[in-house]
Amino acid sequence: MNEGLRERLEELSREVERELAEASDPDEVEEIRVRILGKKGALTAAAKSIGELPPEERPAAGELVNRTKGEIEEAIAEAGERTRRRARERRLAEEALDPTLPGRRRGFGSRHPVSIVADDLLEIFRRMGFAVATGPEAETVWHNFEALNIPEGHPAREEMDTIYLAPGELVLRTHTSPVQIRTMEAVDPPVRVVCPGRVFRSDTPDASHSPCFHQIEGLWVDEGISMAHLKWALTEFVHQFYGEDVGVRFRASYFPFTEPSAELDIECRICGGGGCRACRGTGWMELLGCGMVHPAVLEAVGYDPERWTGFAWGMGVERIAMNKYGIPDIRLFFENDLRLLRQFAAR
Amino acid sequence: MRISHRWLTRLFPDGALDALAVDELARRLTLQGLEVAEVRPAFATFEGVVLGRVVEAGPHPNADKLTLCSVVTGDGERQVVCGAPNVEVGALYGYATPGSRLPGDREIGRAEIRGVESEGMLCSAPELGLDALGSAEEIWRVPGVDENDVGRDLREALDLDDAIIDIEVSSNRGDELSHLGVAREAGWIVGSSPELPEAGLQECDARAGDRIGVRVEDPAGCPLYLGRLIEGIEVGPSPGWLQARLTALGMRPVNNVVDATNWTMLELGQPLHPFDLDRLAGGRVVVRAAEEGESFVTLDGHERVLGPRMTLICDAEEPIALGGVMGGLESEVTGGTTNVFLESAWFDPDRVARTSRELGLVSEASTRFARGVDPGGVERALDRAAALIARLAGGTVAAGRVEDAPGSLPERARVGLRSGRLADVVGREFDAGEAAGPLEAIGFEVEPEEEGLSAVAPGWRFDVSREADLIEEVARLTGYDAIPLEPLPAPPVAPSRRATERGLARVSRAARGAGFDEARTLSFVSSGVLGEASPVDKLIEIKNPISKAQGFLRPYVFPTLAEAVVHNLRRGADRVKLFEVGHAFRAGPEGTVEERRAVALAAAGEREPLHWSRTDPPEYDLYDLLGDVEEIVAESTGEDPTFASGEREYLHPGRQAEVVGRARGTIGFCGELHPGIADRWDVDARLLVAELDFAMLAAPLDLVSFEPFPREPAVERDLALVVPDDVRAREVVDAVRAAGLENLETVEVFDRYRGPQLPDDRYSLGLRLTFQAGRTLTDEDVDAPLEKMVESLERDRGWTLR
Repeated sequence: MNEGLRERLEELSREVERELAEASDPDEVEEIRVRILGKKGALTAAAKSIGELPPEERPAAGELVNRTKGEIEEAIAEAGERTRRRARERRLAEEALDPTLPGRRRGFGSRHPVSIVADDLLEIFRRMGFAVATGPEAETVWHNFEALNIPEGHPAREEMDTIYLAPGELVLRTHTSPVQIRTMEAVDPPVRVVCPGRVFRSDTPDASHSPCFHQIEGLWVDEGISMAHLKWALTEFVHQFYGEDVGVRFRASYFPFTEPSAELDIECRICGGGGCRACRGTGWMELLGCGMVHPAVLEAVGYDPERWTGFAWGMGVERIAMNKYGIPDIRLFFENDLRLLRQFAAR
Repeated sequence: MRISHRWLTRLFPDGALDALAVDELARRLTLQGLEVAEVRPAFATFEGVVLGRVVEAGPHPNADKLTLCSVVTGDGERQVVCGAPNVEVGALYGYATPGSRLPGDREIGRAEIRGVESEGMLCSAPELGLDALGSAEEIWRVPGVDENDVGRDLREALDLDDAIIDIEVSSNRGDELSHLGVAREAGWIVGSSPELPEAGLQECDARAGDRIGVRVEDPAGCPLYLGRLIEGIEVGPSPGWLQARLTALGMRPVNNVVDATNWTMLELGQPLHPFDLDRLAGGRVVVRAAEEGESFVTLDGHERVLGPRMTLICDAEEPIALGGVMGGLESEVTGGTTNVFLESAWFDPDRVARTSRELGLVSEASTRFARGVDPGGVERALDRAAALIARLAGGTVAAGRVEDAPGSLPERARVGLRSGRLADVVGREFDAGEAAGPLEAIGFEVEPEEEGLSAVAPGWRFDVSREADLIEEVARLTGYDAIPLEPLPAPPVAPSRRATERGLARVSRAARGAGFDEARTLSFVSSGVLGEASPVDKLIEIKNPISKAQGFLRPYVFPTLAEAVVHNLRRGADRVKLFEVGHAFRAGPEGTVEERRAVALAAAGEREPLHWSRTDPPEYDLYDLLGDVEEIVAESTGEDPTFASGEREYLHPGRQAEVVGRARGTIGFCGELHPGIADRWDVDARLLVAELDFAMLAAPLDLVSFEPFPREPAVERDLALVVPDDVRAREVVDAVRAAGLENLETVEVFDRYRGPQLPDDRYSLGLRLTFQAGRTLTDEDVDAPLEKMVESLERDRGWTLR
């Protein structure tokens, strides 16, 4: 065994170990690798020197060189891994951002609360088998009044506070009921429609009145339809919209286009039925008007009232929205203040 | 209609209503169709106030304006200091005894007033919550009480422990505008029938017909006219209890004659009118139709111009009342009246309704006549009111009525009700007699028929003419609660959304995705909504607008939407983007109204939401709007729109565009609002608006069919062309496209430059051309043809490469 070679190799190992320990980035490690293991590297030189040894010493020397080379390669690989990891950690630390600063939003728009509530209502009726129908806002007197059993001079006409247009004997529809008429004029029974839309009254605006507001009306005409169906359908609707535990009552009322007519009251949403200011102590809140389609209305559209019967109902969308979201003034719906609209983002 | 619970209860001498609590009565009436809006105490709460007689009054020793009174109440005499100027010895007043409590929780005790003890106080009417019955400066001398009432509790003496049941009477039920009418409905609840108290009419020997005659010349307007004479009366205030009740029922006490007629009207629903007999010329009353343009001064002091379908009550010389609506100023009963002619008539409901509507004059009388009063009750009302006047104001009632009844009164038709139909419509079976019972209870004459029954409605019901009306009566009186719930025979598959509904959802999502909040604006605008550019003949005028600023229907949706944007800017918003889907109205040919559904956009302020990394936020401008419109149209229709120059007068002439769909044609327009319109709002920001046709946007999307795309990489070439200022970008892009370059896939604008390196009247447009083929393209494939194109553009158009 050549002691000179052994010492040189041991010296080299120690030197490499020391240098690697000091290396802090992958480039330095690479430089060390080239210097030691490269073509002109120190270890390569040591390996070449084996040829100069006597033949009997060569096997042991060869083994020693190989072992040392293996150890150094391993150490370099380890150092390389260590420094690369360190370098990445350094880079990541330098690149750190403050996630508590706001991101860049594009600003997705919100839906109007009237649209939200109307869609919710329509969806329930759609599932019950009603299709959506719409019609014009400027209506004929026939569709808005006469076909609905409200002849000229009828007190209901006065009470409607109708807005009249100068041209063409037209009115702004006071309810969405003319859409029912238009639907029945267009198709043969059975008819199952819900009609959402904007309606108009010449009301002076205040907290509970607006000259424009929205209604949803519904109509189901078929053979053998009775008030028992009406009661089921609208009770089911209330339970779907407000919850199964909300009490419902039907009380007699009057509309020219339905007979018998009813108002549907639900338990007051504020006091739960115990009686409070909002429900004037009755425990009930008026939700919608409904009734069996008046035979005169069926006759007006050419349906035989002996064969076909049906029920209809109508409700104000704003009032339900005010109730649902606690909006105190109907005028807020038409003011379009972003501070209101933005509250309905993602609804 | 306000109903006195006391009054209602007393219409049942059998005590049938006594046991039913007023809240329960209200609930039952409500369920039955008489919607009770509210039940409230008829009068303010007070206690310990008795009727006291002042037996002595003298000056207060230490104060000029105070009076020292001795008041008797039946159990001794008390000393009371009074500050009012009107103390009368012998008169009866409301005396608040020590320990009493007045409205507003005001406790009354013994007090020393300027050195003299005062045991309680004498009350003014307002101090008792009876504001309408006397002034606050004077103590209230209670009218209509006498010596026997001294010491009585005032609440009891005036019948003040009462509740008001406020009923919202539906327009088909004029009969509920009276206590008797409501009592009939209440009677069904408790299984009894109301009975009127005895009127006690006593006639004297003198005959009314000898003093006055009646002739009706307008039988259509007034088929039945009756009158009575009450002579030798003394007009004065009504008794306190009557005045108090009238005020609680919403009527103003006037004098004992007028109050008696109002009382009778509230009792029976029949309006009556008293005339001062001595102010009627010629001793006769003529009922005739008014002449066109004839004028008449009604009781409220307004001169009314009449039309021929209005009915006038006249004396021998001139009109004295507008029939069924209001009396005249000249013949009203005053303090000096001693003889009264009392009218009770039946006026045609439609005629009264029309008169009332045309004159804009609604009275207690017209409200009742317009809905119809019971022709069978005209006589009874006359007799009861005459008796009441005689009772309250003294005098004698002349024998007999004067009358003329030339017209025909409404016929009471017999209407059939089939049991099977009743069950079919209501949804439940009815037992034998279950339908007849309630009908009879509220006054129908019912007869059994083979298939069910037939019924004649009572004279006070004007809303019963066919079977459906009887079905409603039976259903409501037997109660809607008795009707079961039966599930609908629903179709097995619910209908799918219509194309317009799906379209609406797409449009809404697209607009919101582009950052627009949904708004809903009113449909009304002023004539100047589009500035000078809006010809009024294109706008739809409203005959009866709510205000002058809202005299027309909106011709587009964007103006009111822009106003909503302005509203938000004024309230401090930095960035507003709104959209609305709504109807717009413009005049069509020959007086028609063209109604369109439109999608409007309006935006102003900063382009992007506030962000900390942003410096100097740019303002939202036309290019932002064009981009948003493009996104919304593309997202809604599946097709990119193009933009063409526009010439709309209400938009900035240099900043607007028509929005065109390749397949759809013109979809709408967009641009900056013309300063002529925007300036009136006085906001700094530029207002950008767009209006798109909803039907075009919502049309169903075409079916997508897959097109294979090449796997080979595309080749891109950038090109900067210098072109004259008056050449629009679109023209340049189109020219490049039209050059027929092989494999050209897209042309996109990536740069636009104007500056010192270029001539003043030219700008440079940077275009990125993408080439794509079914093979890998080489530079030679692309560059040579491109060079040739550039040469030809220079040669033909003078455009150069930058």
